[in-house]
Amino acid sequence: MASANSEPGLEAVERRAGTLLGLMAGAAVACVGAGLIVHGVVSTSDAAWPERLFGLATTLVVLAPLVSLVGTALGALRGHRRLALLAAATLGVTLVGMALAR
Amino acid sequence: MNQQLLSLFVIGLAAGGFGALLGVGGGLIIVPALSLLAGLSLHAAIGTSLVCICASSAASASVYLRRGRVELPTAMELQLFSVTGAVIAGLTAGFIPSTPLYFVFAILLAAVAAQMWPASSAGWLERRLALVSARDTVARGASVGAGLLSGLLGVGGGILNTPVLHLVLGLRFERAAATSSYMIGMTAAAGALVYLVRGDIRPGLVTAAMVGTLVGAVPAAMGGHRLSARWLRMAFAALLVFVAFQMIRRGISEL
Repeated sequence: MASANSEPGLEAVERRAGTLLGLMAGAAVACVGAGLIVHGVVSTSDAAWPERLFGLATTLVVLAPLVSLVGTALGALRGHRRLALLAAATLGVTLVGMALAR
Repeated sequence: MNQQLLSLFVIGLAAGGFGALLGVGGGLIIVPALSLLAGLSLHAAIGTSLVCICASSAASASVYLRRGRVELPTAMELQLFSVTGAVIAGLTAGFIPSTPLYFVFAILLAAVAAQMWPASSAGWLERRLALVSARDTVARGASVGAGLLSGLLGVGGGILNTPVLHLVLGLRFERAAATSSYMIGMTAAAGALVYLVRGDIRPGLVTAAMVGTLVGAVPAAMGGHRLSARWLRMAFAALLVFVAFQMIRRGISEL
């Protein structure tokens, strides 16, 4: 099994994957915060908005690893072809699972 | 509704705290608590737990990746196997009634409790894993197993990933834990998407548990080193045995 030490130049790919994960998680937390504020302000007049924002937060959290995976696949495309293929295959299996669940 | 949200937040808080203190996924606490205390169906509890695992994994793995602590090539290879397992289990779980799942979950809880119990020598799993010869094959098989557990029961699979990465593939423990933390997020996401598409997840309820998990993990991670690891493991093992008993009772009552 491949090891990080045998593949130099992976730092940029790892940083990109980590940044994308952090951004998605941060956006989800922002959505939760906005949802709680809306829930407090307009709780009686329009209860659908907080629910929509919470739904968006859930979707962002679940999609975070996938977005990070896309970043990894694109970043690894040049120097780390095997890594890019593995990321693409994982993404493919996930999407097939989603399609079958419909 | 508000009381249910509050109870979900408290459940997430406990799961996040224990998860950070003991290095296990919160699913072992979230799933039984949501189904036994908050009154959610077992499938909804599993889906909710998977989203919480995605959240805690995204928070920790983003830091680990930027600090270069994740063994990315190894994670990518094993992740393909665990995601395949999670998707198969997620799709199958929709056709499995809740009753047998209660018993399977109780068995898992009892096994983890036995593994958690502090002993002078290494646990049964550690001793066996250290003797493995076909290391890559075992690691791939274990990843499929972790994925199946994740998709079927809503746990992260870290309880299987970390020992395999550390003892079978020879990664240093901190690196194995960081790599496992990244892997369980992707595995949980693959399972959670199946539950989400099938409509088993209610976003409002998920959010309360998810925020609780994140809030609970921070103080536990900051102050956990001051607590006795031995007593923590014993308390957690006792809690798991109690929860396993409650899951069996629920399973029997639904027969």
